[in-house]
Amino acid sequence: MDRKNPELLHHQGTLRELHKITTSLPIEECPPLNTISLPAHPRNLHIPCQFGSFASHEVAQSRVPSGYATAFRVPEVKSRMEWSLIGGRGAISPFHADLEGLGTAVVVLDGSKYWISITRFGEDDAICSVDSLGHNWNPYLVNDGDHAKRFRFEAVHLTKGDML
Amino acid sequence: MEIGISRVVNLNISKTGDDTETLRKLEDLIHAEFKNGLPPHLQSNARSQSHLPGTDQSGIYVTSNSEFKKLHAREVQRILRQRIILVHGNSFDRSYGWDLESFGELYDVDKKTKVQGKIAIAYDVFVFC
Repeated sequence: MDRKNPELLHHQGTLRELHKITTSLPIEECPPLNTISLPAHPRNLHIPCQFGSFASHEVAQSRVPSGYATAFRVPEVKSRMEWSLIGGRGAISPFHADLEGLGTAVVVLDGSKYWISITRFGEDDAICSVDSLGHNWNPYLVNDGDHAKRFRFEAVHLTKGDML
Repeated sequence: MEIGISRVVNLNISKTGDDTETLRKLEDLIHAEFKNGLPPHLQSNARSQSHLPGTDQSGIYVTSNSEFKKLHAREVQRILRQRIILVHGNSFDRSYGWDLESFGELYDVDKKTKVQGKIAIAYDVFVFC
């Protein structure tokens, strides 16, 4: 990603096209592509029960019939709480904090992902207090000066079946 | 929850752009924390449920799916206040791969969606614009 060419970042396409491009082009010619924020509804995955420790009512809602929210007039939250992404080789996400202090779990269904996390923020060992990186957060802050030294970074190579 | 299919990620720092600069800086910082050639989360104390402040313990608690399932929700929350949790060996309802059948489990393969990235070559099925 290049801040100087933001027009290159977002396109509209289908998963069929993504698959064809990534399986037809030679590796050296295939650009990094990432489909993001695929909504939860059209798929059949269920959140494993042990993840209920994170957000129990969202887990519960994932297990009731799809028409439940409408029938009982309760707010539908699943599509806002759960999403999928399919990233090709070399796809990168800039630094970010997932929203509003909610815990986020990532599960790798296939392939692998190199995940860099901030595990310490300043002098504070308790990362639970960090629910936002600020309204004006710049994902490339660490490129400037000594900002990177404010954080402890750790990286994990997640593989199929890993949950972080 | 973020659930993804990702192909093997190779850090390709021969490319240009802000990500390259960021990754170089971060890789230096990450490698500086290695001990005996291994990152903190692969050291033995990463598997301890006890938080050891002031030590070189990883900020990532590593466990297996079978051990994680034994934890009470209170324990999970206690650990999460200090550390991220990495659980190995989770199983799924089916086997996923880099194929249209698997993609279709996540989203309609013919429905438009947002794609990040750039493609700078002519290609007959290229429709991202």
